[in-house]
Formats: sequence, structure tokens, C-alpha cells
Amino acid sequence: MSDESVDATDAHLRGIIDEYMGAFEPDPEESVALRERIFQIVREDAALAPATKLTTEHGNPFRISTAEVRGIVRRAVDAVPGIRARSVTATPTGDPEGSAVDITLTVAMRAGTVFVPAAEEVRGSVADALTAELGIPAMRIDITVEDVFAAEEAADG
Amino acid sequence: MAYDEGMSRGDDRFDVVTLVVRAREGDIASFEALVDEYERKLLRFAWRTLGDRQDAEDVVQDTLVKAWKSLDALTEPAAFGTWIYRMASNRCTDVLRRRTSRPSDASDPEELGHHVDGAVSVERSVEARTALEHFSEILKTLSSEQRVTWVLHQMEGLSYSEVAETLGISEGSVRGRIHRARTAIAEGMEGWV
Repeated sequence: MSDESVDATDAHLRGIIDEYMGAFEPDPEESVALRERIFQIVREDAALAPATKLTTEHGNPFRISTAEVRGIVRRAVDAVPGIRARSVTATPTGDPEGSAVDITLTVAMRAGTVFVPAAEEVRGSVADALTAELGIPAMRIDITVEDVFAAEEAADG
Repeated sequence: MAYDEGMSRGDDRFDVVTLVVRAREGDIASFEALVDEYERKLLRFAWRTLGDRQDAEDVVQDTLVKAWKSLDALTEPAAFGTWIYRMASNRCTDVLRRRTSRPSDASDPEELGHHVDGAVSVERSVEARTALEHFSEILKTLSSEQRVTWVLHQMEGLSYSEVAETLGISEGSVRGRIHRARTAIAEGMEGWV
């Protein structure tokens, strides 16, 4: 079969191809069970994730999901206008170990945001959140801006 | 890459890189935003490729669960879309290969008819469904690789270079597979169009 006749048949097939595509267009309502199955496995897997060992101000050790610690930090960072948290590392420190944490984080920053005051606001927000939610002070908070996003991408003002 | 565009539609606040970085550190909400963006697209692609809803759902589930568990292996977070389409394509190819040795009733004509727009008139529908059923049978005769490649290009709208990147093969191989698939379809549909 020549290329020309393949092209001609291809064009004539357009209607059938469109109909085939339409026949296999998933209805979002019918995907609910699939989504549930996926997230059941994801949640079970997440429950096996590592924990961070910390110590209360009275010297009592406790463990908390590392993802939860990161979540506390991310929410605090995201609350600062123009800043979005990306990677978060929380390292137990202090004496006894775990009575404080060192935080290392990477962020994306909205174009036009002035870094130094924004970074101070991030540090304050993160330190307050860790104290309020875990009762643990942050000894050190290192921030690296790894990306800048355009103002129109932000829905948070 | 086509799949990596428009991520902001799936989540108003975060771009795909931010979501991937957060998800691989265990943030389920970020992974959920990624799933919101890609689940339906992947299901459509797998369903069109395999012609069977249950097999397509299995492919999507396997793909997204594997993505969650192996996000650390993704060195370039911006390429998340390409990465999961490649995983889904590989799984579709595996399913099609298994079918070659164990024929199934995928692309059941009843299933095809069930999903076609109900507004189509009965008379036209009978004729169209016959051509549609035949077309579906022709697709089954393509090799696994040809079928996956043809669906990515013809139905998902990817360019040759995008298909090549997705499948990890050369653009020349993509062109060859699509040409052979188109020829086989055109020959198989002779007299029907």
C-alpha cells in the first residue's frame, strides 16, 4: 500500500478513530474506587515511613513521623506570602539530643519578593510552629531558594 | 513535554516540581495533587491502548503506586509526567504481550457500544459500531509496541519526539512503528471507509 493511499485511508478513518476515542473516555465518577485503592496503598506505605526521635523539655524521648514534622514546617513556610516550601530536613540536635532541631529547607520564591525580610519571616514562622506544635525549639534554620515563580502562578496573592 | 504542561490547573498553588519534591518526602497531599492531574489522563491512555477497562485500571493503579514508592528515583522532578507515562506505557506493553499468549475478550463489542454517545441514532449506530468493532479488531493485530506508540501519537496527541522521549527510543523508531501501524490499519480497514 502506497504512502498516499495510507494517508487517504487515515483521513477517512478520522471519524472512526474519534468514535473509538470517545468510547474510551473515562467518567471521573467511575474512577472513585480506583483512586481509593491507590490511596489505601499509599497511606499504608506512608505509615511505614521513618520517624524522628525528639525529647520533651522534661527530658522524655518521643518519636514522631518525619513526614509530620516536615508538614508542620511546610505549613509554616507556605503561610509566608510569596514563599512555597519544597524540601525539608529536620535534624534532631540539642542536649539531650532531640530537645531541639536544625531545619534545612529549600523554597520557591515569587518573583519580586525581597529575600532577606522574607527569610526572617520564614524563620519566625517555622520556629513558632515547632514550638507551638511540638514544644521543640529550632536551633538553626537554613533556607535555600532554588526556584523563582512568576507572580501570576500564585493563587495565594 | 505535553503532559507536564498546565500543572497549575491541577493545583492552584504549587507547580509540579514543588509537588514532586514534597511528595517524595512523604507528603500525601502533594501526591494527591499529582494524581488529580494525571490519573484520568493515564486511565484514558491505558483504556484506549488496552481496550479493557479493568486492565487499564490495573495499569493505572500499578503505575501510580510505583510512582509513589519510587519518587526518589526521579532525578528530574519537572519530568514527572513523562516518567509516569513511560511506566504506564511499559505496563501496557506487558499486558498486551501477555494477551498474545493468552487471548482475552478485551475490546468486547458490547463494551464499545455501551460507552458510545447515546444520542447517536440507532440506524447510524449499527453501521458505525460495525466499523468500530472492525477497527477495534484491527488494532488488536498490531504488535504491542506499535499499538502503544500509535495510541500515544494518534490519540494522545504527542509529537514524534515526545513519544520517543516517553518510550525511551529514537525518533526514527517511533516513525517506523507509527508508519507500520498506519499501514496495517489502512489495509485492514480497506472497504470499510
